[in-house]
Amino acid sequence: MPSKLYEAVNSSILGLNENERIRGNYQVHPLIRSDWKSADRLRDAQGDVPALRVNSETNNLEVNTFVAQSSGLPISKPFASILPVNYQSSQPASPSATKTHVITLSFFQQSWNNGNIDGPDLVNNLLNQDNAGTDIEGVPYFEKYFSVNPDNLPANNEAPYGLLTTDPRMVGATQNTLPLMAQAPAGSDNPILSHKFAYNHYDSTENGIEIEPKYNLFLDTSPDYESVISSVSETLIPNFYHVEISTLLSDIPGDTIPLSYIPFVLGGAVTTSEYKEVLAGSLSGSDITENQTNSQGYFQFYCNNSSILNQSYTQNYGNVAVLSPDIAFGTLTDINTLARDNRGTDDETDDLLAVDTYPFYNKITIPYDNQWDTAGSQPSIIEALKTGMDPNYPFFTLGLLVTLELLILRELKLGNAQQPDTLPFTIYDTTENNQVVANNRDISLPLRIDAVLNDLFQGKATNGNPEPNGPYEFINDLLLSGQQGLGSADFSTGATTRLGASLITAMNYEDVTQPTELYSSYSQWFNDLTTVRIQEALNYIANYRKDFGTIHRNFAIHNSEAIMYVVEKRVIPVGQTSAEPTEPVVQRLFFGRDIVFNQKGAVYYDTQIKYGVRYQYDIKQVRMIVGESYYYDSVVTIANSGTVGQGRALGNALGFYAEEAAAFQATETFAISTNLNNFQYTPEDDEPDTATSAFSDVVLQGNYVYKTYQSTDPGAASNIDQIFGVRSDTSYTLGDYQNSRQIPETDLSLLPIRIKYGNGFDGNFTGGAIPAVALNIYGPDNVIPQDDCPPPIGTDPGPGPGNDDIGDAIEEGIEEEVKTAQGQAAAAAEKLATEQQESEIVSELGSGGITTAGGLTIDFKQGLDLGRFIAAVPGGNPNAPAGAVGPIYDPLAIAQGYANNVGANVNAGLNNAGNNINTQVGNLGVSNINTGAGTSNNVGNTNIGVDLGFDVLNNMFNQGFIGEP
Amino acid sequence: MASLTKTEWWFDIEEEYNNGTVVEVSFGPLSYNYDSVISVQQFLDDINDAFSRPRAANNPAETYPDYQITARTLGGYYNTNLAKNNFNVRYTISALGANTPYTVYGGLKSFKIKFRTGIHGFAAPEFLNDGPVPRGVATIKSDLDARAAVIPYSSYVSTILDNPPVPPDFRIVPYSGVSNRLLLLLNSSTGEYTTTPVIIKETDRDAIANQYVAQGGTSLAADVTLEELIENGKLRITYKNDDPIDRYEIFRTTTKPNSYADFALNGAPYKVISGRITIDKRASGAHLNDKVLPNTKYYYCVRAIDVHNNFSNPTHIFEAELVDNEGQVYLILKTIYLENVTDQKIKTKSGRRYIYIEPSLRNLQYTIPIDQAATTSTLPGNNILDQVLQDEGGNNIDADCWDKTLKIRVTSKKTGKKVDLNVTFKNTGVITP
Repeated sequence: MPSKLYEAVNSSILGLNENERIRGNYQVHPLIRSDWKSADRLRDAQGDVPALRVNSETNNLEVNTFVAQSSGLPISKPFASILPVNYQSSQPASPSATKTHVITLSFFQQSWNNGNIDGPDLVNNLLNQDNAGTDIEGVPYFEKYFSVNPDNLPANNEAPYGLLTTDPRMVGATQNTLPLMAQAPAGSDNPILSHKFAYNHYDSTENGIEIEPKYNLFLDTSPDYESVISSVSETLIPNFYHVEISTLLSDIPGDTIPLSYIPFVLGGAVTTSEYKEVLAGSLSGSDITENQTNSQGYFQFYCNNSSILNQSYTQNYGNVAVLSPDIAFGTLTDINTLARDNRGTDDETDDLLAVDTYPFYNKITIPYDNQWDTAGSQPSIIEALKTGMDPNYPFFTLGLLVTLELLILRELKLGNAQQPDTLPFTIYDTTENNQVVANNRDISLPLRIDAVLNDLFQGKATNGNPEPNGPYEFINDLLLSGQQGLGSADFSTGATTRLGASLITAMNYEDVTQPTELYSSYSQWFNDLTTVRIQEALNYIANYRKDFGTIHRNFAIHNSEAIMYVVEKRVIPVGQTSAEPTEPVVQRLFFGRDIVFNQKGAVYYDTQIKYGVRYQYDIKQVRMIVGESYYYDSVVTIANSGTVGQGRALGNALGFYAEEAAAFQATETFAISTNLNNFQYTPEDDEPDTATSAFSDVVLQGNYVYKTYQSTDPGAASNIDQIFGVRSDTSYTLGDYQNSRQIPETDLSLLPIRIKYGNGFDGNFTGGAIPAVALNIYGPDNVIPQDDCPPPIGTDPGPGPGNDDIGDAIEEGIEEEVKTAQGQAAAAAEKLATEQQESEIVSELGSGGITTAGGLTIDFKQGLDLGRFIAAVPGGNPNAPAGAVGPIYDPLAIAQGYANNVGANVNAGLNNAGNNINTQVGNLGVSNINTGAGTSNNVGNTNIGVDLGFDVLNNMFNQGFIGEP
Repeated sequence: MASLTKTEWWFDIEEEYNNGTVVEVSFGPLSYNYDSVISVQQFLDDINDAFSRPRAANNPAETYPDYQITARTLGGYYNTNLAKNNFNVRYTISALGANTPYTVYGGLKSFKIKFRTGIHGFAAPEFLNDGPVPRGVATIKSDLDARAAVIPYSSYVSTILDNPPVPPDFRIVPYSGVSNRLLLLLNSSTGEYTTTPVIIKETDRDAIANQYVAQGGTSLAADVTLEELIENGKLRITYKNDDPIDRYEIFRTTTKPNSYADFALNGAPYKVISGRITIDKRASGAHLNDKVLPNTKYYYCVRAIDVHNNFSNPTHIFEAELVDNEGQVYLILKTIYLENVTDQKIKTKSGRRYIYIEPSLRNLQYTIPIDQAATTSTLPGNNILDQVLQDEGGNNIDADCWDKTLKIRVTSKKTGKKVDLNVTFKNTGVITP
């Protein structure tokens, strides 16, 4: 059994405790406040958070792990508890992908009322009081309290809004209170972090970590060894492992000793070969010629040459690391048991161990047992990776572990100005009544493991895009450096300044021309890495994500597991009993994990210490936490009986549903002109038809009518040619694509649409997409290069009558109708044309109002706010009310003007002897109504009126005077 | 405050396969900010990206159809070059490979799309008007956030200190015929032992505490004094000559000491002598030619100090007296032992008018020899006189008053006058029946 079970929770998620919830700066009701503590205001209000509290009996600071479930009376909360079934979560494409969850919150009236301590009765039922019993019950207080929908936000979304002191129901309030969700951080850039995890803590009496000081002997050197090392940094004091491995390599010709093991600057006062001879002097089988230098022993040599100690060593190699493979395969053990003097017996216990010849050290013991287990019944992620990725041998998992360890070494380099990010955590002891062990302690987070894997994925993917100097590039460069030629400064020998650490690793003593086993294995792993394997590993880790419902409801303790230990060595300042975390770290020691045999711990002799100096060894566990980050992506208040969760917005955007209140779309003329004549829009209360497989592929089609946005911006395009360029290929005159552009001439990235949030039951403006301002590719002057011009109209006669099936059909239809309208019918047609276009306008306006392209909404049911309208239109008008600018654009007057003009044009057309309708069927477009109407027969065409109406509305729309309701 | 509202657009697709199997699948979400502007091409790319998200196939040899959306513009050029401002964007959603031999369930027969906003799934209710009003709907997005966190585990304080030396070898040698000089010879000893430290000077306390921490790795509790630990025998330090002796401290007094601390009364130490030969060279041996007065008792003790200023426990206390008997000079050298004054306890008891003095119960008890093999069945019964009395430490207490003379002083609380009674308890050997 562990002696202690600790839990750590992100401090940012801590909320108000049960007492704080009824105190503080609340307004009228304790649940109306701006001083919520937690980053997740919704959870704080619901009490679905942990909180700090002081134990009244012991006066200890404790963590109340679940405010809503505190003992005693239930807390007051605004919304009914969110049950697991209320989390409608998406199934992501892969376990590591983003998940989407939708929750519904309903007012918890009884709980709210119970929490009304001293507020007025008016605050009772606040969120459910307005217009009780009607469809708009709850408006606007629920919205004001929870979240104001975008359409109801003030200009620029600027406060004050929400529950204001001026509100009659907020009598007694002294401060405005933003809606709950407006107080919370929003967006993916500022997610709420959830990393609550548990871990066992063993002390030294329970096979825990131990630090044992050991004084062996007094070194009688001149100058005095202890005096010499007292004035150098700890990283430059002789390291037992460096010296012993160097000694073993010293008898081999060449630059065989990794630079990370040599604290001196060699080459000047002392050559490398002289240095090696000094080391070799302690080898019994060495064949060096003894002289005064090499016979003095390493420590005397060290004391004599302290002036050539390498001052850049600390930053380059100052830390010491033993990575997981070297732990597993006993590199430390081999050096620890190295005999300086073998007494010649079979009994090894009588040998003089090399470590006993060092004057003093601290023996650091990190046993395997108890130090790597998971807390409670949590599963082992490492074991799952091993089982899943490495059925026979944990090659992949070991490589992944080494990757993480190398990246952590980089992040924790000594003297690294860019220290890793930290996050405040609060740690408490669950075995001691949740007493706080560390409050708001900054925990270093050197790596985001999923990001590392994703970067490796990018690095390995064809045309991938790994982050500059990110994990992939770093590892790749590290390994490339090892291919430079086995230099003593390469990763292939365990030495590289990129890590800021010396690696205690197994050397190839048999053949020093070969790289270390660590390098060989790891570079092999990296080369064999594929995107499939990386994604697989990411999925294995992501499988340990907690259900979001449990996270959001404060039940989750995320899976976590120790992957490494870091020992931070600090000097305790004179006069203090301990070193604060802010004291500089003089050295870090890193120890990996034996995942091969699951049995080897680490015993490390730290000789890089000074006599009599008090050191604080802060043991830190590097723990992989499979946490979660989340954010509120969309928040909506439903205050009436409208619809939610169901909509046609996407269908609108893709043209499956007809545009609302746009009858012109159904006209034959428009249908033909836009190839819609054989298309039926889906009825607004239905779903699109089933697509049936007639051939190999099954197809559904939608037709979105794009009305070029008529902007006043001179650089804006006003028609299709200015968006895509003048059509050069005019061959599409027949069939499905008649009167259309070739695909190569249609760069759809030039065609902008504006996304409209909503359900889309009332047209694209209430959910879907509408045209946005497109750029005129010919610029403000609209200078069309001559080469772009298509053949002038008339030079390309087209199929002509008798050859153009559709054109002929239309012409015939018109002729047929013309035949039926003569004399008084022509006058009737004129009247009809006028009435019909007016009725279209009335229909448009009667549907709720007009929205101008500039965003001004005019509610005709309530009356026209002309001042606002004037003010919103640039240009100015002398007759405008004070403060208003711009000419008076009365939409009704304009609409009437268009109608009159149309009528005038029709009249004029009636008097116009010119008539080309028989030859210019294409000119049936409404702009040429004058000529079209010049024929007395023509006015009998009832479609004319429809088209006139379309033209009027379309022009108004294009001018920005009207929009869809 | 930026709007939180975004689109949550989904394609909920119901597929019917040629073998009658019906599969429901959702693609999405398409998430856009309110009023954001994108290109149609971007829209297509986003949709195709959503369509491309994999779904598990039951049989790896078979595949599901791949959905794809394309778009093209239509219209805008109907027999005139004027009406170009309105045109059609035709979107085509295709299920590619719907009927290839590898498609699951014998190929796709048909599919149907429902466009959903937010809550989705093909079986989702078409209208959610049944929900309570008012209500809030929050869409939350969560991501895997796997971190390597460096968490504090434990903390240790460690100081390398060598062991303090063992007491030195100390000899006092007289000069022949010289009555005012003594030669004090000092040398380092060998060995290693663990014992309770002896405090002579006030400044010794910190050093001893440091050693205790260094050797035991635990700090002294705040509510426990060094003396208490020493008295209780709980503070023990290992002494060992693991580094050279640097000097010796010689303590001397002419007053017979009751404790080692008495040596510190007159500004201890008396002398500090070094075995240093040169500034760099040390010798472990040292000596002092000490001036003394004849016929005067001197009390000496010495302790060794190593190169790290760790001091040993003091040697025994030696009483040295150079006797000069009319020119006959000789040395009287004794080792003295400190009396345990704490054993001479004086107990007081209040009373009035009468004093009744008798041996205590344990002095009246018949002491039974302890039978180590005794068990509860062989021991006498619960007779108080048969009980073997024990002190607080659990030690058997024998009778202690017989044949001893005890002084009992009676002091008047009123006048302060005192009367001493010397009482001797005699045991006649007659056992009362």
